[in-house]
Amino acid sequence: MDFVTSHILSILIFLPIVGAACLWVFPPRAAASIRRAAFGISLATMAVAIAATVIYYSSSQDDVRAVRVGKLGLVEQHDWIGESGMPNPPRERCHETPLLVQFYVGVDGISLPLILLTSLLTPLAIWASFHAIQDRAKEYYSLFLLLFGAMLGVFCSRDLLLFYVFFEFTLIPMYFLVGIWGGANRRKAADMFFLYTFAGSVLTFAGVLYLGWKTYATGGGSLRFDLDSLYRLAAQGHLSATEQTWLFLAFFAGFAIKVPLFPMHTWLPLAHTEAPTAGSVILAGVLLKLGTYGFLRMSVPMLPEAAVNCASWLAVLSVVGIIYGSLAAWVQTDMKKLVAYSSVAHLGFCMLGMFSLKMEGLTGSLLYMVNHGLSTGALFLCVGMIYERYHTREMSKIGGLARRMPVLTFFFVFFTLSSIGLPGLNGFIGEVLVLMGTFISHTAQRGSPAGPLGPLYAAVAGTGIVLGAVYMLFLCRKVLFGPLHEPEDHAEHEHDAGALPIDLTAREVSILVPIALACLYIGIAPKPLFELVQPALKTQVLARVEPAMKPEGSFARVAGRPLAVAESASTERSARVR
Amino acid sequence: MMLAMHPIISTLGPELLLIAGASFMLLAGLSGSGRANRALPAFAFIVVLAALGTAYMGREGPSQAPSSLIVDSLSWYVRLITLTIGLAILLVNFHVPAEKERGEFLALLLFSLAGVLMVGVADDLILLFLALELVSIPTYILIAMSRTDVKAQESSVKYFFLGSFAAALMLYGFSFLYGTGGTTTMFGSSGVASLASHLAANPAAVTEPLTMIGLLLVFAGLAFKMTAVPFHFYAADVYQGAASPVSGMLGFVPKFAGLVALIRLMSMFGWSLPASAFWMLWGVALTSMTVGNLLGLMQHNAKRMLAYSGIAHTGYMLVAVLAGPGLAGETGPTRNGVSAALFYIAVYGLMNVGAFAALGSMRRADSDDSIEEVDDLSGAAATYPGACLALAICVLSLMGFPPTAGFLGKFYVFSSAFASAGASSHGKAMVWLAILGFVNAAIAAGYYLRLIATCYLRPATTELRSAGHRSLRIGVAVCALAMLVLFALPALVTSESEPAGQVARSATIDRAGTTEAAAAGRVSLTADAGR
Repeated sequence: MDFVTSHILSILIFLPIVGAACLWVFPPRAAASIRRAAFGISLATMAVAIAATVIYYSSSQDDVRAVRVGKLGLVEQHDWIGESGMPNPPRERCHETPLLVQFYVGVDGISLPLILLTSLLTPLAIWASFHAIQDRAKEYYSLFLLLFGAMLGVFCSRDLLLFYVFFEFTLIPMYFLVGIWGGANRRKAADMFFLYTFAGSVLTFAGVLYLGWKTYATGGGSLRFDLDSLYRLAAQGHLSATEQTWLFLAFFAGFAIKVPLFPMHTWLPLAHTEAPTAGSVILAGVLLKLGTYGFLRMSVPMLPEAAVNCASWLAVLSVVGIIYGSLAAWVQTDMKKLVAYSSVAHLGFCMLGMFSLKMEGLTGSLLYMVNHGLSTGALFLCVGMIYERYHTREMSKIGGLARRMPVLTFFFVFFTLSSIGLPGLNGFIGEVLVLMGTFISHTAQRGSPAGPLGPLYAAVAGTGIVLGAVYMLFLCRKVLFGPLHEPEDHAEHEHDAGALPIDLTAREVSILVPIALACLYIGIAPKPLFELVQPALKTQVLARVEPAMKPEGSFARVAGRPLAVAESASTERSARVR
Repeated sequence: MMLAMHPIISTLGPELLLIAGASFMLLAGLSGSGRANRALPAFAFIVVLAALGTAYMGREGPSQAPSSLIVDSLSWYVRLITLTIGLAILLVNFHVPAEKERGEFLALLLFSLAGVLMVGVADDLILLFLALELVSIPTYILIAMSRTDVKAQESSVKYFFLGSFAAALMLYGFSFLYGTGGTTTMFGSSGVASLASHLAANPAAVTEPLTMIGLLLVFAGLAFKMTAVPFHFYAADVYQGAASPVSGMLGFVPKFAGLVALIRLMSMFGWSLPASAFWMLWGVALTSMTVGNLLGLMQHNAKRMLAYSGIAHTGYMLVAVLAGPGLAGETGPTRNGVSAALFYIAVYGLMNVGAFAALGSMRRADSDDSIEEVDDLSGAAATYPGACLALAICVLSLMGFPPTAGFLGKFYVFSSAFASAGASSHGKAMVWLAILGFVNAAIAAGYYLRLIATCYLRPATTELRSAGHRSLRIGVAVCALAMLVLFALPALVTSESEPAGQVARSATIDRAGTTEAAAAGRVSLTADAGR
């Protein structure tokens, strides 16, 4: 039992990966048992994730609960890639290992909500594929489980190279999921998704290597990629402002494409539209968050000066993305495309809140990640359920479904309201906090220095909320209400063998209910979530980026290294000398 | 027992074993008896295994190597990797020749492998030249024998003429080097006049026009072996003409020989080149990557595509060679470019052989042609899931994608480039080279992905049938599996490539007898280049 509790994160990551391999023992024709096994494995993984959460909550050090102070928990460190060392090491380096890369995982208040989101959505997405995926079931479900493991790996990694490996690996299963089981234009969508993301993340890899080399060059004695060492680089003033800017751009290339920020978003509508329903759910629900998580975990705390300096133009891109995404969503005729463009707008909010560099904004940004995953994931599921019945996503071909499918209509409207931020549902909290953080960003208050953004950004972004309500309600009106309108050939297929009943089945309802409950819970009682994320955001992100901000005045470029950082660096250095 | 005591035999055990085995197979092949021919593949396999065993036993080297031979951790690494990958090459090539020609074919293969081993131990320019030719000459014939197609004859003749031309250039260059140093000994034991000690003693000699001309010509010859731009033109034609498993071998064996010779040569120069030579190599590395990938992007023929990818990979290896062995005392492939290049070529050898052999394991059912066009692979994954999975793993590895060893290869190569940047006056140039290398990796993804996409995402258009012996499929599986295993446990190779990268520098320091202080100033290729 001790082994299990001390290796809970390894089990969490590798259970679905090993499970994917186990699916191959089934004969290819046994599609029903394959999907049941896959669902079972994903549920088991979810159980492990919940167990990990419980263990993290109960872990404490010196009578202080780890979760209260935002400390890292469930840490596991194993050596992975090392070098056998130098034959004649200089004497002063003898005590250091030239070890490079570790299998180093851990969770804190930032990663835990995303891990829980992933392990809620993935089993549901697998369950949602039961009817839609009939051919090559074994490949489908094993790819899905591989993806599951890789996503969990990204959120658990505490070593930049390990993070990068998982981050990259998510591409392969998603590429095949879109490319094999996607819609008519699937090949183009899959290629575009892969090449875009890969091109960006290769540049990120350059940044990763440069940072690792920097840990070595600044006297670490070895190349290291663990986040602790990397955070220390900027704090000790080893990274000049120019270096930070270049590194920030390198990370930006990989993460911004993944998010996607405004000019890099072109792969997203295609990939979301062509992916199978479950693929879209995971793509929107989790994979986009890898980008925002990367910014939050790597770019901001690791390169604080660059984050402060670049915040304003990143915020401009986010705001443009919000407006552009909303307007583009408004004119879509394809339901899935509409939801896809709404993701561009929503992720813009997420980025805006993050780069306000205020506690409110960061909290809002992290909550927005979770909320967007829940509500957009659920909307994709709803659209998929309509598609499975009518084989079209064109809004002009269907209408007035409320008469035929009251249960679906209930959920559809529910998630629409959650997505546009109705108070009492989850979307509201995130949106308000993001805008609040942006509004107060330029003021210095309660000991936190002035941030880079200001009310102007919030004011423009605020129109995005109105637009969001416009296009989502437009979608509802077109599809759900008004006179009943079905595709002409629908009546012929309605009574085919194997066709779904008119309204949702019990399976489909039980897929949507957990998501709806989660939305309600976050909307009504967000406090436990705040208590989880805020201490972690404070210690992991804000404490690292605030020294780079000027105590007063906004929009000012930080010239040189602030005094506080220099002092802490010198004390660190003297500590090392001792 | 008496024989084993002879220094030449104890030093050259693996090489002699390979050559003796190959000669025997030539004779046995002549007998023309069916039974003998069927037993030959197993015999060749055993010979290579025995050579590997001999190499392992002699890896410490004799206390006093005979003159003109050098036994160190680099030559052990060359033996280990050549023979290990040689086993994979043998596995995938067993079925290629017609049964009657098997003896000659496999014997030539072993001769070529023995040539690579000789490159690793050569300490004399003439011996080095002979070793490099021993690598190449059998391959000319191998190509012609691999297929009954006229294309194979064409590519064999092309390869032969261009190869001889490159060899002549290299020999001409060696003559210049002999002219400057007055000896053909490269390193020699301490006290013996050698090129390395001559160059170390007279720093001015490095920039002499005679030396420069010699260096340039030798680089040209080695660039041909390594298919580096601008000596890459033959690669696509030759690889396309040969049978796929032979192309896989062509992508690795001469390239490895060229790389090792280049490392020896750079060590001879103490890793300090004049600025002009640095920029020449820099340009060759950059253009190899870029030209290889851009031309690869335009190919529709799978074998030509992989040939151009090979050119690009040469560019990546040259980046690591240019990074040099780093500062004193460092061996890890993240900081020592030589270790990184040696790791990279081992991984490249496996993935290249694996990818070509996976192509060779399928044939078009209608015309019985081997697979040429990428489109021939349409939907192949449905009928040949195993071959396509192996192909996909090898191609992902070529792309440098985790979780494959190719990812770590790129990691080591570019990390060593960054590390060398910190210690040299050409630091900016190395950082830019690394960044352009990353951009190249992104470009390359375009055509590698096309191979995978064709196998998995497209509907089947051409009917395929499986080709080749079971050993071919085992070989393919071994290569693909090795990519995953080496990702998890890179130490299997790096623990050997580290000392080998170390020796690339210490060879000059210890053997040439230069003082520690002089060596410290000259260790880094790039540190001195700016002076």
